[in-house]
Amino acid sequence: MRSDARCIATLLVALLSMAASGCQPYLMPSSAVDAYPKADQELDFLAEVEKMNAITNNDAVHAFLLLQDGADAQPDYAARRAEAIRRGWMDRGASTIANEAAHVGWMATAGCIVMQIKGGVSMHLFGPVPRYAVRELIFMEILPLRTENQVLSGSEFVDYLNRLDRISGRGRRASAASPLGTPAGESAASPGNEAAIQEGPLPEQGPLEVPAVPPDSSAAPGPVLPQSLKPSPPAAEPASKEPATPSPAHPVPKEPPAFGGAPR
Amino acid sequence: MRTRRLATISLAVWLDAAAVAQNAAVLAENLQRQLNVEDTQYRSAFFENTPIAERALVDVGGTARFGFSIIDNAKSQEQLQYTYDVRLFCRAELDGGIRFFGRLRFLYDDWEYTGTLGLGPDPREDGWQWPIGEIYWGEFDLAGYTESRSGRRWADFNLILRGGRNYLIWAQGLVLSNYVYAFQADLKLGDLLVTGLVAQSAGYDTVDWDTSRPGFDTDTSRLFSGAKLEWQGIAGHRPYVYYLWQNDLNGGQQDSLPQVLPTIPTTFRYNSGYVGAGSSGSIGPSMVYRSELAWEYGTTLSNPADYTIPPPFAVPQVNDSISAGAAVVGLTWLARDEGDTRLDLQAVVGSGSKYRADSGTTFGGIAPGKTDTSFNSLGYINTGLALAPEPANLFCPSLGGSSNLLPTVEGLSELRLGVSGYLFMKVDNEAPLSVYTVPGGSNLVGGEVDCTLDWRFSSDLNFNIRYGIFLPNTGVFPADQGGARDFFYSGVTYAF
Repeated sequence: MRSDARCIATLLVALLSMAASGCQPYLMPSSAVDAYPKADQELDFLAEVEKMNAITNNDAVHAFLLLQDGADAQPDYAARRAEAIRRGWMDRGASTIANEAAHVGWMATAGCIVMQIKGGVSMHLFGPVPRYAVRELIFMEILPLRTENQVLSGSEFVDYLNRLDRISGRGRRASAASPLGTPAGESAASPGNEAAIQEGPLPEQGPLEVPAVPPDSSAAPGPVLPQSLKPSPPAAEPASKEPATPSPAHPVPKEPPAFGGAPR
Repeated sequence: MRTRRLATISLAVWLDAAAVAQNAAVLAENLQRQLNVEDTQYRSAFFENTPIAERALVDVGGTARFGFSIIDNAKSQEQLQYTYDVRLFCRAELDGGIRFFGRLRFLYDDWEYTGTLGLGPDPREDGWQWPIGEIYWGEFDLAGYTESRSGRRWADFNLILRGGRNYLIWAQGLVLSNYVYAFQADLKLGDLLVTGLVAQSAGYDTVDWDTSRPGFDTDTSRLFSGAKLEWQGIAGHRPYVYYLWQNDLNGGQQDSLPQVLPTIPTTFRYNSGYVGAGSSGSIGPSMVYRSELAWEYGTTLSNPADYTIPPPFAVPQVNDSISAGAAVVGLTWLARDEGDTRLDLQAVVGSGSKYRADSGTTFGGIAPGKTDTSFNSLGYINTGLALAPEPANLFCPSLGGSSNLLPTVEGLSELRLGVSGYLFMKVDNEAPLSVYTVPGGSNLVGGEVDCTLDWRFSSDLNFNIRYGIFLPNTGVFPADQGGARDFFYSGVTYAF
């Protein structure tokens, strides 16, 4: 038992060292909003974003402003950041670097606020803080498996917006057929989440569904793609990789969605 | 034959008492193993589908669970168990090739014997359960690490090293499915995956098959070493063969049994090897299958008691050879509908020995000079909740189904119901099962129906019910053990 404790302590020290050595920001050369700042350039903006290896803070705030208001009146990232803080999407310590890769955490918070997602017990207690907002959106199969300090590729971000938009459509246009009909749940769990692991609706055998991610965008120009930014492997192919998965992955939109047409 | 049966029954008085005393705790342990297997399958799939992060990633979290169980022992007496379970995990990744996962377990069991004290679980099952460090392992993925450095991934070669304390499922789990301290190496050469393993069972988290050995549930040290070859070159199928040797590190341990006079000195040693083959994969888009066939060989010390004329008297123990086998085959049909409906058909079969009074113990074990054909391992195959026999001398076909019945109804979309039916039969009606039955008579032991309800209220709150009822064939049980046995569990889990 004592040796267990010693092993755990040693590993924790190693982990802290790892964390300390890996906290440098991940910078992109530019943001898509620099080239397409206007609301009527939204499709071009999204097409450009989809090519990027990581969504930047500047682009993400711009996209959320379009999503909520249908317009972005802010002239630059400093103004957008201030507006995002005012709306509760970012906290006051948020990065001031426009071209830094945006963390999943605040983007999940923004998504929950914009879409008025109430969440589970933790979100009711603590609000849409990044940690629980991310988990909620993973549970709803809106985000792929990530932690709050990881980032999204451009295509993953476009898919994220599309899914948020569809959630909105489902909520506000209840009569419309919802494409989000596939069962959710399994992919919400992180490896220690016994709510999904120990007692959740697990299959008796076989692997679980692969988190939904858009096609690989690694062919796009830009810095070398870190593995954490790459889409996960495509949905399991029963014929070649693993036994059939219990539920199909979501279809991936071929075209960027037009989501900012009207104020919400 | 009649004399042997009567003598067996007289010896079995001790085994019977021990079996009844352990029954509720063993069933509670069985449920925990079921959860552990699901947990392990989930984590395995999670990590397999989640590349190691190239930049530093540290994720922490936990769960809190309250569980309440009503468990019938062999005499259909109810015992209550309250479970308070908090688990804290940490996941860390670096450089595309280094991963650590650790989980602490704070588990408190509170048993209420409801007038069955003395026949209830071992007092050590009450209170805090050890160890706190449930899982901790590190992994190095050579291909991932190299890719993070060079940007190119090797398609046909990889080496993954993993070591630490973990719940390990070897193949389909027939031979080994248990908490172990293990070092594992996966070498991928084209379509061939070679897995090497050295593992030692984790004492406090292992219940040995030899329940007559002192410390069978707190101090079981069995060292496993072996390798598995898996061929990944056939689309949709993963055939494999393996060899695993089990060395009994408790070998040589001695005790005087039973605990009432006259006692008989007993020495314990059981060394076994397992040669297995099987395959898993898919048949078409909606069928997945799994199969495993294992042959066990080795040596075991024989029964120290001669019970041809009651009361039992001591005889010298000898090394008896082992030659046993077991198999499991399963087929799951996935409806691929909104409710994720699935049907699962499974059959488990294992050999037994009529020269034993108990399928796994040394005291009451194989008679001197006989070949032990009873299959024993630290594996786990799901055979239900209420009886939960091991594969030894068992033929158990089962059919189950589960579905989200109301996938489009808000609030109920994550409500999943399942029903499974099990039929238990002895392969040899004169040989024992891992649960106590009288020798002879019908091969039919009984049937069981299990129901499950999983309701995920929200992303972080889950409610769960499991209920099973075993309906015995009263003719194969002693008169006071012929009643139906219930198993009820309900739990709520909060993830944070």
